[in-house]
Formats: sequence, C-alpha cells, structure tokens
Amino acid sequence: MTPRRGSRRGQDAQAAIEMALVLPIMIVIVLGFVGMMLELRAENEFQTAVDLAAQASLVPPLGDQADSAVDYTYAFTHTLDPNGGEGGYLVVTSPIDCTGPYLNGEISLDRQGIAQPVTCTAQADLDFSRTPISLLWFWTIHLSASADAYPSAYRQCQSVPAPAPGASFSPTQC
Amino acid sequence: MDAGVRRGQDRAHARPRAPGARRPRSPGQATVEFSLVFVLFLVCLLAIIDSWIWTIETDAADAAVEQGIGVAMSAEGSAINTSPALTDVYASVLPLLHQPLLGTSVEDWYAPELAALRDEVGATRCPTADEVADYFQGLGSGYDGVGHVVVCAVDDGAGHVTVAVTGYAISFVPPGLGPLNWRGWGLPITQSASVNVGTYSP
Repeated sequence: MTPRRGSRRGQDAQAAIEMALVLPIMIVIVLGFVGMMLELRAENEFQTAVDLAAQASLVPPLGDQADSAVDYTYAFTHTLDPNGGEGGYLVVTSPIDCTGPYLNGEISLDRQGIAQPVTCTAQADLDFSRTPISLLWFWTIHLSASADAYPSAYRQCQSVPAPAPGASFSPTQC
Repeated sequence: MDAGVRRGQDRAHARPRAPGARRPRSPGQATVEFSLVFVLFLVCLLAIIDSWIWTIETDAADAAVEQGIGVAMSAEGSAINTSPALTDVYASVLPLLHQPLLGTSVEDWYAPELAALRDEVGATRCPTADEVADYFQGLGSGYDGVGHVVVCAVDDGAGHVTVAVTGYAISFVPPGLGPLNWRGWGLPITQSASVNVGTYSP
C-alpha cells in the first residue's frame, strides 16, 4: 500500500466517523428539544384542565355535590383533547377529584374572611411510545396537577332547610 | 505565466493513477458534501426553533382559552340573564394572543367576514384548524390558508359553552416534518375548553 492510498482511506474513515458521531448527536438534540416542548405543552394543558375544573365546581349552588361533580368532570374532560389528550400520548391515570367544604354545603371563612377553597387534583402519564419522540423519550413521564378555587362568601344553598324553632340561621351553611 | 494555464499544464503532466486508486478529493466534492450537511443541519435547527415557537403560541392560546371560558360563562348583561357572554370573548383574549402569535392574524368568530364559515360549521360548534385554513385558502389569503387563527365561543344548546382558538400559525419549517399534523408552512393551533353554562349570581 502506498502512503497516499493509506492517507486517502484514512480520510474516508475520518469522514465516516465524523458523520457517525454528528448524526446521532443532531438527532438526540432535535428529539430532545421537541420532546421537551411537547412535555411542557402537555403539562400546561393538563394544569389548565384542572384549573377550569376547579372553577366549574363552584358554579352549582352551595352543597350541590352531584352537580358540582358533573360540572368539574365535564370541564376537565372537554378541556383535554377529546380524542385522548394531546394526540394520544397523554393518558389520564387518576381522574379529576375535587374536595372542599363548599361541596359539602359549607363555606368556612378563615380569620381574614376568605372562604376555604375547593381543591381539585388529577394525575396523568405522558407516553411517547407511539411517536418518533420515543427514540429518545422512551420512559413514561408522570404529571400531577392541583388547583384551588375560592367560593364567594355569599352563595345560595341548593335547598335551604327551615330553621328549627329557636335555632339561629347561618347563611354560610346549608 | 497565467495561473490557470499553469494548473492546466500540471494536470497534463500528472502521473497516471495506479489501478484501483480513487480520484483525488476535489473542491467540488467538498462543496456538495458541505451543502448536504448544511441543509440537514438547517432543517434540524428550524425544527427546533419551530417547536419552540409552537410551544409559546399554544401556551398563549391555552391561556386565552382559560380566560375566554371565564368571560363566556358569565351572564350576558346582568346576573339574572343566563345567556353566556359569547361575543365578549374575542376582545378579552386578543391582548393575550396578539404578540405571541408572530405574524398570524387573530380573527373574531363573530366578525362579518367569517359569516360564510359560521354558516358552514353551524352555530353550536367551533371550527377545526383545517376548516379555518380551508376557508382562508378559499379566500386566497395566506399560503395554503396558513396565518389565520380564529377565536371562537359558542353555546352548544345543551347547556355547555365552548371556547376555542384554532387555525394554523406561520411556521419556518417545510411541510411533512415534525410529529404533528403540519399543513404547508403552518403550525397547528388547536386549543379548546368546554364547561357547563353558569351564572355567578348568589
């Protein structure tokens, strides 16, 4: 082998190694960035769905637990993509659940006169296995969102019971 | 002696290549290789920039929808009226969308220019991003109907109010790239929320 031919082969090998190094790095950078953007997007949308669900839970009258549940569930499921959420890669694992004194027919005011909130929580998984992003993002990402909504101190009860004779009437408790 | 002539003479007196030896690497080959790699690099770079812009735009649309729902589900006119304030949504969310949606026009669903699209879609649902793009493509506005996003708020007649921001924002990346449903040079914006109609009367 002449030195020139050896040099030429060395150049070819160098180019191949450079390409083999650079191409995966470029793919990792692109997939990593796109995956991160999709994750941020999904997190934001999931949080918005929980926020709106918390707000929706306060729309029915005080103590109307059944209607509140219908409203917050509807708001949550219809704010996420109805076709399964973010192209199918956002899977709700723990459906929306809201708790708070308002749902039990009570408005508890703290020392500053602020009503205790209704707190809604939900959890989901991000699974990119059906997208090209899974080449890099092959693990499942857990999302958890929580939101508070504060009722007005003056809300109407679903049904106002007649006060017992001699008993004092509370406008903030059904 | 002229440099070009001297190079020609050098080539003429060059030794013949040994059998099996490759042609020497020419400057043209390097240029072609560079241009191929550069195009690949450019596409990757633009894809990154596009996904970043898309995230910013859809986050803005998400915030607009959240605020729009709050406005839409309020009573129109008074606390006694139970009609949702659908026509108030556009003005309230426009400041949230105007700057993040770079170069994309934000349209009001209730604008007279969109009467034909409203008739086509119906009064009880919001259009999809493709319906918006098809409509503006029909009007000859924007390449492939891209560059228009509609703020829509409707009452579905069954006690639910829906607010949506849909359409295609302007993109840098050529069609067919990315994990999403790209259309032409557009980035799909499809954000919507739906809640039961309510009033905030005591």
